[in-house]
Amino acid sequence: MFELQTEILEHHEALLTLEITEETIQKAMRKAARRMARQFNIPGFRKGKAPYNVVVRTAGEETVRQEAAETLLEQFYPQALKQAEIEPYDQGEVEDLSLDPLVFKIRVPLQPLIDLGDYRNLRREPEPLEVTDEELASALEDLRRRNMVLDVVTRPARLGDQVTLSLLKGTVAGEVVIHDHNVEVVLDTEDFFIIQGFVEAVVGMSAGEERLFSLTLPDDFGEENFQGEDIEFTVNVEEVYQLTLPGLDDALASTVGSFGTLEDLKDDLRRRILDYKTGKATDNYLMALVADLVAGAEVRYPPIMEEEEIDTLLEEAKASVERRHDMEWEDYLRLQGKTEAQVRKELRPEAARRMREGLILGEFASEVGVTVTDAEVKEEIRNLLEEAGVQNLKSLDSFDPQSALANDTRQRVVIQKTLDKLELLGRGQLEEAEDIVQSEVEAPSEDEKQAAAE
Amino acid sequence: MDIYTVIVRPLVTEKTEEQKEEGKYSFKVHSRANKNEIKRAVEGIYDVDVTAVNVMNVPAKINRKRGRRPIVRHPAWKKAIVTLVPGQRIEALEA
Repeated sequence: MFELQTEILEHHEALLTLEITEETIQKAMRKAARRMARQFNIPGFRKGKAPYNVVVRTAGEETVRQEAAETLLEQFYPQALKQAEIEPYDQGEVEDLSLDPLVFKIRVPLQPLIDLGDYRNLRREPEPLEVTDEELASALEDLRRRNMVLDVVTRPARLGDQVTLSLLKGTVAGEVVIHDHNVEVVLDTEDFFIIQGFVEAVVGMSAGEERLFSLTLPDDFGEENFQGEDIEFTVNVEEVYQLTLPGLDDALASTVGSFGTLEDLKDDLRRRILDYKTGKATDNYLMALVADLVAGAEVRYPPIMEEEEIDTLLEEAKASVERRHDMEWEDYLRLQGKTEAQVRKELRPEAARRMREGLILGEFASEVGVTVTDAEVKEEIRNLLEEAGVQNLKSLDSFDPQSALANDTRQRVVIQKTLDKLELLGRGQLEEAEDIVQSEVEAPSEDEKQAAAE
Repeated sequence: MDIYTVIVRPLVTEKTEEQKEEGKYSFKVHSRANKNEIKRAVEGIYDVDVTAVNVMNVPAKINRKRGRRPIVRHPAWKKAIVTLVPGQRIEALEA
């Protein structure tokens, strides 16, 4: 039938050399010839009636052999894989084919191999979390700023005041570039309005006053056409307000929200800051853990997986270009002065990183036994819908565990659970958690006993 | 007549393939060729011994169909069925 040689190549691929005996080929050629006789019109014969010799003579021996080779490959490839004890990741590719004697050289990408290493002892100290007095003070300061008290004054405007402009008009070389009404401007030289110098020019104006002045736009102005040009402003002040920071007292607390005292406000702020920092710290913590896990793991995968990941990234990039910039991909490439091959090359490191991470996390998930049931998926979808404020949850009755939404959600739940486990591991609590699960399995709770009885 | 003028081409059809088993080979031959000429031509070209030659004139046929050439005329030709001494074969025509 066939002789097989297996060679493991460098890039996690196998090279199968499959030599097929002449006898088998001859048989296959006769079959192929019959098939070809049915397919092709051979003058002098009805379809399918031409004998082997005639087919070989009209089509050529090589063609018949080729045809036979194809069917033989289909027939023997799975057997060869089994015999070579290889788990392919994807279809192999025929690298070399000689017809006489019939030898196939097939390059087969192998299933990725993931060795997590000594992940069980992966530990990382979480950063300590606290809200410092400075953070609280700056948050309070921010609140005060946002709750400035505005008092109408009749005096000319000073720095630090806020003015309302009933007319703001700017012309560059006779062309009107700004024309606006009811513009509110805080006179602050640090955080200046439009361009440097504008604020200074407005200082000293009183309510009802109109002023014309001209400024030179800087060379690094956003609009290239206007760089270095003079701009003529016509400004009409309607009202001048003095800004006063509210006092840091119970009154502020009650304006900001329903807080009785300043202390209540401080407590609330402290809690919110802590929440925010906890969220961020958890993210950072998990990212660091994932990095540790990846660093300690050994992954071997065939190059085709990397190509596939690049394909995915490229598709995402294309979609985002078309959606965000409303631009055809080809135009975008031209604009960037790149070819698709270059873009692929640039994406390669990112693709490799993403794939390694995905493979390693996937392996970790199966190692620690992350499973998600359909019920959990359904629950997650219900939560999402409720969060989105959907009242009518009837559509959940016809929940399809195979739908795209369900699969998407399942994916997310799996990731979430995996990361949860990873966090437990990092904190050194995974074993405890597993023990609890174990004991639950061993000793079913009262509810379960009852359920089983029913 | 030259022997290569007498034999135009061998015929390869379902029927002739079957007749080869009985040592009978069919050819399209020159319309003016006679049995003796055909016998000599086959013996000369294929180096075999001929025991009998049957000839027939295949009449012209007209195919009618739609298209660029609605009427196609296939001219008349002469067919010869040559029987060899039992056991002999023409290797060159065995495909």
